[in-house]
Amino acid sequence: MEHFKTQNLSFTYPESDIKAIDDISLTINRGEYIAICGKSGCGKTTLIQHLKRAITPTGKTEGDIFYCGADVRLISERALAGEIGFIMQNPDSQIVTDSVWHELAFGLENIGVEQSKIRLRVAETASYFGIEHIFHKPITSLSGGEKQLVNLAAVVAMDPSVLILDEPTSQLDPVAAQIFLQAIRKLNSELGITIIIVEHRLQDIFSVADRVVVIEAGKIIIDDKPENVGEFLNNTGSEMMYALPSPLRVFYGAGKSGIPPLTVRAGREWIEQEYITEKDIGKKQTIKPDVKQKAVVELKDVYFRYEKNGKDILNGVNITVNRGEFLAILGGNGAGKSTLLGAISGTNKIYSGKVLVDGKNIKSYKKGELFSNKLALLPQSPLDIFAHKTVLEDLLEMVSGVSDKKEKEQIVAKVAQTTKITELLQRHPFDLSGGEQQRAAIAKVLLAKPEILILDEPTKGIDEFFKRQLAEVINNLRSEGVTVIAVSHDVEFCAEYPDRVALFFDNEIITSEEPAKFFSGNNYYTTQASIMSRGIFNGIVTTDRLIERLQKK
Amino acid sequence: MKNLNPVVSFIYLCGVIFLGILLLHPVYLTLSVILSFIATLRYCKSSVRKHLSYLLIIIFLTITNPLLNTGGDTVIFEYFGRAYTFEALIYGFVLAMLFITVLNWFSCYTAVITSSKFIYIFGKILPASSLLFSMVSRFIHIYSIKARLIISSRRGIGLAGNGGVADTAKNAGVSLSALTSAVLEDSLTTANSMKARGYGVSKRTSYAHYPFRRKDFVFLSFTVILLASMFYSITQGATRAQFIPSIDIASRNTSYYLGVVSYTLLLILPTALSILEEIKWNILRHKI
Repeated sequence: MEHFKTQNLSFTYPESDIKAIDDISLTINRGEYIAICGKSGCGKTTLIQHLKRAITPTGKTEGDIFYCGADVRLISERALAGEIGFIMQNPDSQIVTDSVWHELAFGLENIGVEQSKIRLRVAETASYFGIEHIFHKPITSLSGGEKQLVNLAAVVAMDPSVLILDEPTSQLDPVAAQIFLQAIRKLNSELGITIIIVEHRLQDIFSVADRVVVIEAGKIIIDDKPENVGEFLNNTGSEMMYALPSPLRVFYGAGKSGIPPLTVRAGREWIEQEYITEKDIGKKQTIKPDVKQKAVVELKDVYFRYEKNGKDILNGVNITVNRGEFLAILGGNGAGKSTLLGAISGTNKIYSGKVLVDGKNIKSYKKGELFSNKLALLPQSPLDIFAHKTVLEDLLEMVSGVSDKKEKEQIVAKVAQTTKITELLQRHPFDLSGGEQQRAAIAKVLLAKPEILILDEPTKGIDEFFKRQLAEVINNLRSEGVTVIAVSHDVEFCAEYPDRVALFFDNEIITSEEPAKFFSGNNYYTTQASIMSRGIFNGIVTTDRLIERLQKK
Repeated sequence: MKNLNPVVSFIYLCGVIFLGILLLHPVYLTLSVILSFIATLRYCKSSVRKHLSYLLIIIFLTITNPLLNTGGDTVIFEYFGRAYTFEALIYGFVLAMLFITVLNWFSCYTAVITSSKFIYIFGKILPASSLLFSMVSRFIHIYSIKARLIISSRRGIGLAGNGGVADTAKNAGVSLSALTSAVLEDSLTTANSMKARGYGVSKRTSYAHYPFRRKDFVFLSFTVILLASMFYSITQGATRAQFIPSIDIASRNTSYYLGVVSYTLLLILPTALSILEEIKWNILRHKI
């Protein structure tokens, strides 16, 4: 049965000439799981916001939207409030009340359901999601993953027949993201709720979705089964290829066509079948980092805790970073990775041990000296460093020591070019998409001309293309001798780009090794490419390498 | 009091806060300071340091009041031709005590009337503002974290806390404007999330369920009777107290004694209830 239908839907934002979505005709049947993907800024969010009238942006809309055969404009808001559930990106700002139980009840209270019914629905929902243990907790005490699960439960409590999700996992760590997506899958398969999801993390939903819709510049370029979508993108040479899960990329990268493997297991089986005859014997893949063995950052037995009677967050951390090196620190959520960065930059005062930057203890740096042309830190949420009306103004704020306005603007223009934000300079930082914000933030950080660049979760909430651009920017910096330290839980990113990966666990650095060695030994903390190729080809941890290897045959 | 029906505890706390502001008579004031302090011990997790800081407030208010208020007959000394009077000094002390009483009751209030209870009480009469109350209580937390993040992020790229006073002030201004943008952006999302979940499409109902039990009835009856007898005493002038220009305090008569006894009983109610509940709980636990 037809659940949603849009007919020739177009939308233009006020004060804009470009159609954000252009002539979209899409039919979604009841119980389907639809994944919508596309580059950031392609109009996918605008599209799904049209499916929920209460949050449709203002602007010029053309075309029609039907819900269960009826024009949405004719259905009462009360009926739609519960029927169509909508989950947004940021777990924090979509929560309204201050406690979990109240959040679950909020929607039902709004539409005036009687008390005994609310209590039953809330109880039922809380047990379905297994969140009884946090039922009475204040929202502020929850982790990001728990918050997003509460958001989901709060919407599901209203008994929706369709769930629309706008990049719901972009702010979560991989483990929390998987738990969330599993809950979505369960809602779809057990309760038959229609799912319309916009996602960057295609690897977790590609094999689950019934249909994948790819949008480019406001238009649907393909709407088909996942396996056909892969084929289509490969044939058209679309940039969206990079967003595909590793097994598909390897399959097409090796020049195959037909039905691709959608899961890691299928990918492995396919490689075994095709390539089992020639075993690659321990030909180690080595990346030759141009690293001069001169330590720029050294941590020696560093201990740190937030409270006097609390527990140690850094428990005897030792690590050395060499000039020009790119070191990635991997670790689970809440492990203390960001705390470690705080210790390196001196914002967290360590109580024992030493932090040396350029061989000098950071305690003996004068106030502000460390951050002038020496070390700079990109925070987890890039918006935290924007304070002005336009990106340009924000960047100009960073240029010091130059009085001439022209000269200042030239400096900014140069950095804008390297970070590819020239056309964004006049925009308000808050109006940029996640990837664009990240780029602009990097530009701002670069204007501090740091010798050591510290990145806190640089890939959080950004799509595959930008990850590649980010890596390019980082590589350019390194060729200029900048040392880069990043903490991340993005395994695929850490396998591809850094010289060395360190694992932070149990409040200390457990090991640090080059990515190929690090990931080929691990079973869980590893990449899809490594799992698919293990035992067939040794030492291959990235999708690109695996493709290269398969092409050699 | 935390287990009572919110309406009952709300009436009680409003009553004692009102009386606390109204009664300046030294005996009543002493009663309210001591008993409200005992109540905070039972109901709030307040630190010793906080109560010690109250001492500073007392000293500060007492000493500074005569500087602002030159009324009073007994001049202690004169400075620049202004009088520093004994009555104003005493009045300052009384105001400080009053201030502390009210602070104490308000800390009990925040501990007992949680935002969800407030919404329960006022949800039907003031649906919008009661919800606002719940949201604000969360926002304060979020934004204080956000403010700290913005400041440390700016420091991390060499923008804050490195220059002189003028620089620091300018940076504080910029950080504040950044925080404001973040707050506005955030509240837009929250508003969307509320709309998406049907806020305002119909009359709100409430999940929270607070039964009216026998103990609520008993507590409420005590409160009402004692409040009534207090008001009787007040109308009889038993609590009259004047400090400026000269100290004049009500004489002791029947209504004065009635007032003192009623006030003591009234203020001791929550403490007594909590002790009784603890005893009962101990007996019950003994049976487990």
